[in-house]
Amino acid sequence: MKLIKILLFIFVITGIFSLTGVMAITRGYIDIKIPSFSGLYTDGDYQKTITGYQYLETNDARDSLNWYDERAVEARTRHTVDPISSTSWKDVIIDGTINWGNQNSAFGVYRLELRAKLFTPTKVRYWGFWTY
Amino acid sequence: MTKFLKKNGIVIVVFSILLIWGAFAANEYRVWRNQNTKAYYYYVDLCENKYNNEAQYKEYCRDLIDSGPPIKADTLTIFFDLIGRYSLNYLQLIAPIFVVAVAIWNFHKELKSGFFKNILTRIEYKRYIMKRVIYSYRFSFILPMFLLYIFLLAYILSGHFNIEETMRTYPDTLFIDEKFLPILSTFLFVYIFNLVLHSIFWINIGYILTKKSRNIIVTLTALILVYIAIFIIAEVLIGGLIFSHIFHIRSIANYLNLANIWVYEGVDTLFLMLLYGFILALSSFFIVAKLYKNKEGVIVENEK
Repeated sequence: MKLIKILLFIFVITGIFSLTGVMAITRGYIDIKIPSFSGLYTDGDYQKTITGYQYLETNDARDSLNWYDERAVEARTRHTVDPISSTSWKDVIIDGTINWGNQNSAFGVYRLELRAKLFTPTKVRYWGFWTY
Repeated sequence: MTKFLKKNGIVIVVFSILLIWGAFAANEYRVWRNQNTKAYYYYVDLCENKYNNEAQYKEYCRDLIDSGPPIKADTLTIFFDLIGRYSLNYLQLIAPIFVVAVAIWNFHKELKSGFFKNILTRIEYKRYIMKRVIYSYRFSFILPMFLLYIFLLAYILSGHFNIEETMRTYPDTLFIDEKFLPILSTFLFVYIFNLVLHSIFWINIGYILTKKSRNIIVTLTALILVYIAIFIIAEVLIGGLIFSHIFHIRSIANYLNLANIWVYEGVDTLFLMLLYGFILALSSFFIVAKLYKNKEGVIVENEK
C-alpha cells in the first residue's frame, strides 16, 4: 500500500511539474539500497540550472534485514565540478524535509550522497525525493 | 632498549597507527572546510563581478553575501564529525582489532610457544591466568585516550566551544542527537565508560579465540568475524525478531546494536546502554574464566 502511495505521489508531482514548467527538478528514490558499513549511495551527477535551496524529503529508511528497525540516514550534496565543494552531512527526517540553506543553492553540477549513520553490516532501504 | 621494543612493539605500532590516522582525518576535515570557503568566495566573486546586474540572481546573491563566509564549527561538533564522518568511522568496525591485538599479543605468544609452562613452574596457574587477563584490561583505555587526542585535534581545528553558533549556522548537522547536549557531561561519561566496557568485551572474545587459535593473525581475523556475527544476532535476531516482532518493543534494537556505542542513535535511556555494556563485559568474562579454568585442558590444547 505504501509503495502504491509513493508511486501515486511521484505521478502527481511529475504531472504538476509538466503543467507548470518549473525548473527545479525532483528525483525520486524508491527502495534504493544504501550500502552496508556506512558506504555511500549516489546515483550520478545532475545539472542544477537555477539558484535556490535544495531539498530532500524522506518517506522511510529501514534496515534491509530487520524491517522493524528504522535506520538513521544522513545526506549531503556535492558540487562535482570546479569549485568542488560539499555541504555538511545532515540527518534526514523521516516523513520530513531537510535543506542545506545557502551551502548548495548555486547552479552547477551536483550529486546527492546518502549513507547510513551507523556502521553496520546490513544495508538500508530508503525512500525519498531530492529537489535541486 | 631492544627488550622494551620487543615487549611493547605492538603497543607502539598500534598507537602510531592511531596517531597518524587521527591526523589524517583532521586533514580530511581541513581540506573539506577549505574547499567550502573557496567555493563561497568563488560565488561571491561571480555575484559582484558577473551577475550584479541580472535580476534573476539578485535574491540569491543578496542571501549569499548576507550569510557571510562559512564559519569555523565548534570543537564538539568537529570532534564528533571526525569520529563519525571521516575515515575514522571505520573504527566502528576495526577498533576491536587494535584493542585486542595489544591486549593479548604477549599472552598469545607465551601460550603458543609453550613458554607459559616455564612460567607455571614459578607461579600458580590460576594466579598467572588471572594476572594476565586483569592486567590486559588496562588496554581498554586505549580508545578513551585516542578520543582525547581527537578532541585536541578538534580544538586545534576549531579554536572555540561555541556550539550555539554552530547549531544556528548549520542546524541539524551535529553527529550525535542534540537531546544529549543539556546532559553533556553525563553523556560523555557514559560514552567513554561504555567504550571501556565494550573494549573489555572485545578483549574477552580475544581470550576465548586464543585458546583454540594457533596464530595471532587468525585470532584477529576470527575476532572480526565473531564480532560481525554477534552484531547481526544481537540486532537482527534478538532486537528485530524477538523484541520488535514478538514483543513489539522496537527501540531495543538500537540498544543492542554494537556500533551504536559511537553514535547513540535512537537511544533515550543512557543507563540501558551502560547496562548492556556491563552485561557484555561480565558474561564474556565468565566464559573466559570457564574456558581457562582447567589447567590440563589449556596445556593439552596448546601442545597440539
